Amino acid sequence: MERVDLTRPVALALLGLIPLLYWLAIPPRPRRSASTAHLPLWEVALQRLRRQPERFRHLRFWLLVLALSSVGFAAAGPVLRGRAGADVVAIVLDNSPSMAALEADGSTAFDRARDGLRRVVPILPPGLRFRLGFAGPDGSPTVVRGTSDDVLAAVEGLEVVAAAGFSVRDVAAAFANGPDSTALWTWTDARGDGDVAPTSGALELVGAATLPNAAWLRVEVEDAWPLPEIVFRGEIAWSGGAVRPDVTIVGDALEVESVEVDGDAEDGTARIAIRALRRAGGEAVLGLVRSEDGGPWSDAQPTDDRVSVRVAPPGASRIGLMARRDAAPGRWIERAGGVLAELAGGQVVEVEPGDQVDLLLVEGGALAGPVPRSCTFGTAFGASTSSEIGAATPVVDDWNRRHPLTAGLDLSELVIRQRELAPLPSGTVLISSDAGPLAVARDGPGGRSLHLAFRLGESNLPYLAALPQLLRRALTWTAAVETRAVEVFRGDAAEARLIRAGGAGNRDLPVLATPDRSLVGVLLLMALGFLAARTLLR
Amino acid sequence: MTLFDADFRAMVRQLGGGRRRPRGAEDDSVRARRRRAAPSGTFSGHRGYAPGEDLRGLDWNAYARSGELFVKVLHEEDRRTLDVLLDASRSMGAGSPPRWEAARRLVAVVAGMALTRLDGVRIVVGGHVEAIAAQSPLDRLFDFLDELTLAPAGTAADPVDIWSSRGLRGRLVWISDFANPEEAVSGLARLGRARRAACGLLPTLPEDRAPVLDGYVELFDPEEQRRVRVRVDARLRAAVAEELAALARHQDAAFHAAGVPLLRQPVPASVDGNVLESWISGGWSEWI
Repeated sequence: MERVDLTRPVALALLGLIPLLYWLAIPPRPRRSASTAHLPLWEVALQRLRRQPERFRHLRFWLLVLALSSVGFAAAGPVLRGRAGADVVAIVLDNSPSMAALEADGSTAFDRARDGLRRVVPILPPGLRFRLGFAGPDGSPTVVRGTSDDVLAAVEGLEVVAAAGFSVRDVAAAFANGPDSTALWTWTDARGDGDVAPTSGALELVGAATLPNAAWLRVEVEDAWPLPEIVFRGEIAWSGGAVRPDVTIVGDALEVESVEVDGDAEDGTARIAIRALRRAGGEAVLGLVRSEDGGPWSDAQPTDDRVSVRVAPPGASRIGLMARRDAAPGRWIERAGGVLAELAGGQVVEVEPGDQVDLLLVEGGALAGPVPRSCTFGTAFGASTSSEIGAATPVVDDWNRRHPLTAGLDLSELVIRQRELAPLPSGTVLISSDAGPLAVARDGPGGRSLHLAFRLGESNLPYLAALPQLLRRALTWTAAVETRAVEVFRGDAAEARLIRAGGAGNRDLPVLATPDRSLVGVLLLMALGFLAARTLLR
Repeated sequence: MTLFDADFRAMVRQLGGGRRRPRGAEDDSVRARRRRAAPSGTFSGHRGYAPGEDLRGLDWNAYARSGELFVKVLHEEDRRTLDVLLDASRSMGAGSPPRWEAARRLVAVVAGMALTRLDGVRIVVGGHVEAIAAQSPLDRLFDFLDELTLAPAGTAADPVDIWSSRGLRGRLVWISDFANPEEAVSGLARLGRARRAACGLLPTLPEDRAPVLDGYVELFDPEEQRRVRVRVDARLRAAVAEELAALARHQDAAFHAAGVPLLRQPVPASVDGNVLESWISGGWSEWI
């Protein structure tokens, strides 16, 4: 029962004017009385003249009393007290990826939740304040505050986010910790691992309780660029009646060498390892396919069936070779180029100064300056010439054991018969001797390069096991790849599992507050109505 | 205080015994004596016995059969009896002086003249029939009229109904204000069906022609016991005068249609010989 309070009860004193109105409404006593047998004729004559007998007009008087009473009560400021209850409605709208799962009729749980909010929010009591919690574009909790119109506008522009990590339960818990006057109202599909639905507040479950789905949960990419090897290690999951799918790589970027699946049908997860070789680079899509016929996979949540990976193009397809013809014996530089081409899946090409290659191998001769992504052996730079033959065999003192190029290599048996006299470019010394640096690594703004002060044929390096490793490291180090690139694509297992926990059920909203309503306007209108009716009465 | 003082009574007695006896009164008095010596006539039916009537007129055979008193009605007897229908409704009390006083004075004059001619008189008033035999003392008439009072509001009996139910056959004079012309039309129609007619006598007051009131006045209808407060001005007086004129036309038309006269007798505050003279010369004396 709604209660009416008066904010200015003293104004009711206006009702004290009613006796005065009564006194004014009483017609005066006539000074003379006369009996007549023709009173009906008098009344007919009065009617003809549109006159009324003088009398106390009860209806007119009471209409005036009602008008005065209405004004008196209006002046007293009557207020119809609203219903006590929550005056803040905190709506948590689940727009996590699972809400985009396709239902049997082609709609999504998010569509249903949005339609429900469009339908219900406008009919909630006026005067409520609203909060809307949802996942932002990056999956972080976002809150919109305002009126019901603000909430509806936000809902209209809201979409299901692709990013995982949004927890309806956490947002609901944050709202639930607010003031007591907050009514929490969560709209979610409650599908996922365990109890996803909040335990407090009103709950509106949307969408089917269970939907079949298979998804990539995690993908790690191990890329050996500029080398061609690339390995994908991932995990897939399936639930809701789906069977375990197979995996494949779609596109020409890669050539699959092997696929290993280590699965557990009971818990619905499997670990995947795909080894592939880089071919053209570009986009590679890791997809799920039907195990029985290899056809495209299809389920309630198709967005998590595919993982797109950007694969860098081949990093060493052209090994440039620039060597003097008298670089013998054995033309070791050509052999070194062949080894690198085999490692990188590229080819050796003879180049002239100015040609573009992925790695330039130079033996002897002279260059105007260090070339990025190059490896030189006994090459002179700048004004120096190769004719400046140095002294006799330098003795290797030590080598740099911390530099990525030489760490772990064994160069203790390296013997240099003759060293070029031309100085090496400035850089990190890798191999030092009593006659100065024998190898430096240059890491400058223009790029990286490796420079040795001797030709391969003037040393026993070609016979050491360290040469292939040094060349391979030079290929990757000069390409500025220090370690193997590992990229991780991580899905959300909870969002992939479209199964609602058993205990979840809808819970009604608590009693919502209704605002106080002033009755002044109504009473003044009533007063005007009474006065208008009184005017019409004669 | 009596309505009929000694002067009035003397004037009425003088009307019957003086030279103003109407024409033909001598023949009537002879007929009245013959009737009394040998009461006979053409039997025309029975009527109920009214207290005070001559017991010799009772039909004892009818009494033996029915246990009720009936009087034989002889045509000759009725023709020589004057029946006065007096309206005693509360509306007759209106006016200043009240119309009721003038009406009773008129009855006294009319009945007094009839009695002095040796005819019988029956006064039908308020559901009662007062029969006064010929040559009865006039004081009995005056006393009867002096004691008459108006009927309580809403209980006034229609004198025509009373007259018809009693089977009376005398000559008729109907004294009323005829405030409701429809009642007059209805009464005259019933009389017409009985092959009878009544001369209408309307004691008129000054306010029957136009209101004499002014200012803020409370009007009282004694018939319906209603009070109405009005502000009387010239326009209202004119409008009421029009309604009163229409009423008078309606009354005249009703009696004219029945073939009988409606005579309006002004009612002055006091009655003297001149007033009586004017009354008698009003034409109704020929009717009785």
